[in-house]
Amino acid sequence: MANSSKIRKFEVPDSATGTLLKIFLREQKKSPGPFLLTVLSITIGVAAIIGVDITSHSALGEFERANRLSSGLATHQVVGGATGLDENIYAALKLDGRFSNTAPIVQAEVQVNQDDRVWQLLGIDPLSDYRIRESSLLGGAYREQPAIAWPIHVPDTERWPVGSTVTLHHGNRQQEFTVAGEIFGASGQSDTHAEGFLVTDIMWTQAFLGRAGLLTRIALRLDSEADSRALQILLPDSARLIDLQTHHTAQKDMTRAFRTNLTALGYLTLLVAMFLIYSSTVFQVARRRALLSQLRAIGYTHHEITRMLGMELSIIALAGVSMGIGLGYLLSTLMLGLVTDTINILYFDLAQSTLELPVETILKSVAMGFLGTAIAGAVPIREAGQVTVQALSKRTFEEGRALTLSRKLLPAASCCFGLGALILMFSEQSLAIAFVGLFLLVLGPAASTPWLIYHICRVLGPLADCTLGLVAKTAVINIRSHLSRTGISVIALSLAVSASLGVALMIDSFRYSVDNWINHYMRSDLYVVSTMPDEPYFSGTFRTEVSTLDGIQDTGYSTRISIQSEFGLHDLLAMDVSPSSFRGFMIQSPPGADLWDRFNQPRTVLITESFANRHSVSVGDGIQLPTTQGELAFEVIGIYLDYSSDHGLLTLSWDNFDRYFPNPGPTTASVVLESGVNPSDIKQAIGKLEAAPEQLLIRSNRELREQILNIFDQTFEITGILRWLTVLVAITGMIFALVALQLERSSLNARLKAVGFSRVQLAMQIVSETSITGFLAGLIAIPVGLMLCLSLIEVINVRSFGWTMMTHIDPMLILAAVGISTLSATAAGVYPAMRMWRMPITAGLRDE
Amino acid sequence: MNRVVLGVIGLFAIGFMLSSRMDIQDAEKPPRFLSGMLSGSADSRDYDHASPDNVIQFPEDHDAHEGFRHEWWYFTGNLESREGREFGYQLTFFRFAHASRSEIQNAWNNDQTWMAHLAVSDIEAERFFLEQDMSRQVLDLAGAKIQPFRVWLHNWHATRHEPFEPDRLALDLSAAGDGFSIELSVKSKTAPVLQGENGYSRKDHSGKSASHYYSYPDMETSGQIRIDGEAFEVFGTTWMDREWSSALLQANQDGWDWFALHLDNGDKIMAFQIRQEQGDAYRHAVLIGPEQSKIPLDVIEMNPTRSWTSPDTGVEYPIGWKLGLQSAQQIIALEVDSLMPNQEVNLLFRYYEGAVEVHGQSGSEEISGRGYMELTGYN
Repeated sequence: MANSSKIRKFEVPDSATGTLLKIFLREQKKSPGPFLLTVLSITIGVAAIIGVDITSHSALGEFERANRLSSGLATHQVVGGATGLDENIYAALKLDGRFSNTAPIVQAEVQVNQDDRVWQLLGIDPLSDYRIRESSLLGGAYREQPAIAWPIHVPDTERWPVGSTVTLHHGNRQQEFTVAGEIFGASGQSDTHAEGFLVTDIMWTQAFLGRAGLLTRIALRLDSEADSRALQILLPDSARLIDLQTHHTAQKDMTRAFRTNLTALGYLTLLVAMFLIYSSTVFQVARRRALLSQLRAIGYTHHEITRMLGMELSIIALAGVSMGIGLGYLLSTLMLGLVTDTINILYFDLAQSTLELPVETILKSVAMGFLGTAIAGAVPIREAGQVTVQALSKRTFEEGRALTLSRKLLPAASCCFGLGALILMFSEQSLAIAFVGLFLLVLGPAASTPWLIYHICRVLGPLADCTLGLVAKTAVINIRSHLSRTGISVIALSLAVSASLGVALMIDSFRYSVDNWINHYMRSDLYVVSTMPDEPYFSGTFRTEVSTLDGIQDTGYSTRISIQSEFGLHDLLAMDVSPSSFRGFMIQSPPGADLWDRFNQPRTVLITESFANRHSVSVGDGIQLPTTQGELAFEVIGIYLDYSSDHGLLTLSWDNFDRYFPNPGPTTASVVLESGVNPSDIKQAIGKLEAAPEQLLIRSNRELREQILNIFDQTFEITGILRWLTVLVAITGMIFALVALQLERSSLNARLKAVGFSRVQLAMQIVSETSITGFLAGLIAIPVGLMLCLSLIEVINVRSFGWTMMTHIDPMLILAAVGISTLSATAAGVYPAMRMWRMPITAGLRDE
Repeated sequence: MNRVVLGVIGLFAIGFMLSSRMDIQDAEKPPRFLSGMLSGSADSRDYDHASPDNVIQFPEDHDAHEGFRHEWWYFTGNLESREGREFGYQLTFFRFAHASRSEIQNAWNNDQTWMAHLAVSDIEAERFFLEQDMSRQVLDLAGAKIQPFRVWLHNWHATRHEPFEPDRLALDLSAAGDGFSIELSVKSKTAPVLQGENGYSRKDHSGKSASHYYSYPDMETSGQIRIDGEAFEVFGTTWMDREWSSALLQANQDGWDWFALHLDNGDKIMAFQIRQEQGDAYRHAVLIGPEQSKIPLDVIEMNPTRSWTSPDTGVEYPIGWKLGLQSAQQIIALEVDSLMPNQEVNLLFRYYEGAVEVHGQSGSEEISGRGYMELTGYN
């Protein structure tokens, strides 16, 4: 030691740290691969977090923008029945004087020049609209061209320059409009928030849509609760006041569950990435073991080495985080479209969102990236600092600790599991906390994977020897002894595979349940809706005509409206169906009850399971509904399974609907055909009926069902992307761990070669070792995945959507999970095997 | 007369407003559109035009003249509470006609648009309250009628409250803005004064621009002004102007200064000048005696004495004036000064409409009074 101090004194004079840094950098430069891979691991973890965050933020931002543009600064809105709102109600409010910040709005979906894109056409009265909006919605050319018709404004000026003419289409209506300019923002810049909106004068909209005298809504800016009460008194029964704050909060809540699910998957990826960072740091230490020992030998203290490794890791983290932000942004461009589509399908229409990169997202990801790196890197760096001179000659010192490590992890894993279960049970309604519980629940078993593998290998070792020979036996023995190095990667792999399996099983169960529900619920052969926006209702004559058609066994009619009850804004479904169709309802409570008679009694209602779960309503309870006769209580007579709305749905008999709600007629007809009748014939016959609306959409049971399942699949597309990302991270981790391992074992392997192992045997042994590890990790992931699937079904989904579903275990998914795990681990073994294949014995023995 | 400015805005003002609120509130971009718009417009409609042959009749001419391009019912008044607190107010209903935009049958496709301004000046506290409202003439949201007489925009209105007498007018005025309102009764003490030549009022030397114009210069006023929840019982005098026209300013005229003054001796003076880019301003003044006798005045002098720059818009207004008026009998020298500086109407279009005090001499007699001053076209 005295000697080393002397050396240090003379050879590493004043800037020990600087020299050390140089040495480290030269080392990294000589072999940049591992350095870059470590950076990549952090990059992927941060990218997952930031990608999800940006996506979620941008989609929500788009929702808020859409609201801001369509409602402006309005705090409330008055809406009417399905046909629209009499514009005289607007006049009455304006003349009253107390509600001066009031503006009429006519809105409709249109297409421009028969382009596929759907635009929102806003018909406004500019003389009152400025009272409820920041943006000025009419501008530009109007001033210069006062003779021009009140213009339509589109932001897409490249395609439709000012002065050009476009044709708007709405149903079978079409009309030419002159493009007059862009929509201005409050700042005077072209308003990107206006994306997806076209603005024109209210008279043009009414005339174009054939809705003279009718408004879509009245937007209001009310200052006080007293104003809103005063306004309510003025409103006729047909009109309803909606508090936009509550309304938007409800809408945001709807997407909350969806976004929380996404965020959870993002964090899972980061967690797996942390394991990867751990593996790669271990790798960095392992491959420089000789260097570290030499440094210790020449007198560097373990503090200096630890500090330097920490600095190096910080540089790696900085690079990884920066690249992660960039990659995350790219990832979000891919995911945003999917998320927007899903929100559009499930909740409400959003225009294509624009990407936003909020500062808090960057700060969060920087913090998460550095913290994750620090936590994951702490152990191997500490370990590296403790490397002694002697360690140089004792290369495999950790391997003796394999069992100790896996044993040490066992109590932690059990605690993790127990804590996770407890949290999950007692997390009440909080989805975020439930996800934390779920993480721990999965992490526990995953953490005990090394211990399990160790013991399985103990049993497998002799078995392999008897059946597969020496190579297999060596592989199995190696797995046991190498768990100190591979253990963490095995945990990561197991975690990723079990999470992926659990989510896949849940989605499959969900799909199975939806399929089953469709089978029960959709018993008719044909479903008919009118596609006339202004005439969505079927007349009594149409119904009579349909009933006289030959080949029809049964018909049913329904309509769906939105109402604002004590539970907020939700849908109400009114059904005019036969007893046999009614039996398509999958009544959950009271179990097995035949509710047909009660359903037709006055003031009874069926509710969906999600409604019951969301609002804690049970059978026998009364629900206050705003009817044409004022607020009336309806008795809940049953709860049924429904996947059509996660916000909950109330179902009424047609008689009840007719008696208590404004009823312009049914909007959907379902037709059961007599056996042997060709659906196409009836489709044609219905289309030709005299009282049939001009445009009908008639879909067969199969078409509709396929459409629903397509929507379902599309909804979970993004979940699939994140799942695969997690697995990808885990596989990368495995590769790191195995390469690190093989580096350490080069002399051992050389010795094996020296004693007669052939190259093939050696390569086989390495690949077998990794594939057996992968296989075992996959096996262990099965029960964990099943448990995750059950937790998702029983806890998370019930809380997110209020839905329960049947558990459906597809063996193919389990096989696939084990297969992925085995294959990825096998693939991870290929590189070290090739390396070993090429390495001459002397190179491996040189360090001996 | 003279609220010409406001009239001009007509269709264009509405168009301007529609163009962008941002523009309107942007002090860097004053509404220079005014003279341009007045110098001839791109509106294809064939409007009625003011004619010296027209005979003003009551009550018919209280009603709207939809064939003319712009028209207003203009009330300004100087009021005082019982405690001696002084207020000024302005309530104006503007009507604008424009070319029909289309043949389509739709209630909103209406060629008449209404705008109203309400302002209250709380002189003691130097606070100025302002509100604007607009509507098309649809769904009975705005309009004018004579049986019984009423002009309204939403819930702002001037409504006859006593049986109609051909040469008298008694109205209830009601309007409210954010945090302030007026509820006033105004009653003309005398018959209306037909301005210009029997109500035909020229606006330039050439006679190309003119309007039909009559006034009730002396309306006894009482009622209530509410500011921030506090009610003030007030009384005082209101000046009402009625004017309709289709052509008011020439291309080279860029604004005007207009005064409506009540003097202590019972005389009323209306004086205005329409400023030209080059050359002499077109000036006109009239003295209305106790018996509504109209004495034409020559304007010898109309010069600013002090100015004030609006902190909101940066526009400099001449808010103190020296007027020299001369009739066959006497010379009237007046110092007109704004009762408080900030009475800038910075709404859809920008102008100054403020309560003023008057001091001076009429012949050898010392006189003083109150009134209103309107300044337009300053940028």
